[in-house]
Amino acid sequence: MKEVKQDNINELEDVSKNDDGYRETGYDSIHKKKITNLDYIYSAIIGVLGGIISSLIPFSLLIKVWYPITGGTQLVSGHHVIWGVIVYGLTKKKENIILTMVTKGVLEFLLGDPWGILILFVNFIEGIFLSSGFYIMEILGEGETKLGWGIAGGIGNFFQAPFFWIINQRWYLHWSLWALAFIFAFISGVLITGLLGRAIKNTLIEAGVPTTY
Amino acid sequence: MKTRNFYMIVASVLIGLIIFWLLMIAFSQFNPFNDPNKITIDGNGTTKSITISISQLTSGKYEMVEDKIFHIKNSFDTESDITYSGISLWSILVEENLLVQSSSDLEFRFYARDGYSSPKFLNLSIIEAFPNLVILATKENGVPLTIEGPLRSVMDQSIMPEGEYSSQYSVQQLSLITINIA
Repeated sequence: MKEVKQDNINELEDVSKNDDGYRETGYDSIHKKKITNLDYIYSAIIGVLGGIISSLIPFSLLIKVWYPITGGTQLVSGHHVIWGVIVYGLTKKKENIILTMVTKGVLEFLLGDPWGILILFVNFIEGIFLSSGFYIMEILGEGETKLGWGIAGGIGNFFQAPFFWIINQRWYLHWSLWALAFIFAFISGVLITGLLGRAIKNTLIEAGVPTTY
Repeated sequence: MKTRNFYMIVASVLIGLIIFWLLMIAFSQFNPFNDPNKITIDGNGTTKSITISISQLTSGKYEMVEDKIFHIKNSFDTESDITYSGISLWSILVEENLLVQSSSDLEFRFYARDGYSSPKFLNLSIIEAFPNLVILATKENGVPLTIEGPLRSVMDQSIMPEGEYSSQYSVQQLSLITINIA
């Protein structure tokens, strides 16, 4: 799989170098840490896609039928942050995660999210948490493993659960519902954000989507 | 690698056990499998505990509120106007002669099947003063409530006490209304 990705980059670089008439583009800075135009394009496309899908598709309906207790929708909440994982997989730049999540937040705000401008802040913080998750996993030597991506996804998706439960002042609800909601948020982050995001990233690279690292 | 996998299995089993026991505790506290098509009104502020089906609620016996715009506000001060249709809660209380005292001496609270409840008891005189602004909604924007219903309590923000938000009293999957002596 890595070979496919590398071939793809090498091919683009070869074309760029061998053809004198070929105008160099952002691929010239593929191995640099500087953000390229392609990074911005990925952030814009994936952020907009995430904003539309997160706002307009009621994924929570999938779970309400099977798990009829409040807080159960956290089991599918991981899809909100999966966009940050996909863009990280294609660019390996943590600032791109934040850029993508902010783009997604703007879309959600413009599409009339019930939380208004607050949803932009929530997306920004989720991006920070996800970036931190990947940073911690790299330090622990799990930066490229499924376990590492899963836990990074869990960390990225965890923030919103206590945030919204606290801002909703749900103190009066039973403590077991609080505990379950937070655990579900983390598990959803591991499974949907981290592992599913990693699988989607791999499929995209296999399909020929160029990476920028 | 073997040690790493062992730790992963141990962590997974521990999390699984914690979730299992938390679920047992949650399911012992709430009964999410109550008949969704019925609502119960009880409490020491009522003359009797009654359970009413949706077909009875919409039979014409109680006052219906059709396509009324409710102003909803959440705890982040985001506001929206939503059109609901349903049954006036006050008309049910009066028609069934449920109250043991005057409304100003009583308080009410909404409970959902999924374990959610409105934040606290509110004085029942609010409902008497504004009978058309506290309803048991069956339709939102003309569409029958399904997953969120079939009944949902709805209160207009204009009648909420200071510091209370109508969105928190807009309880989905409504199954119980408790009326107690204040």
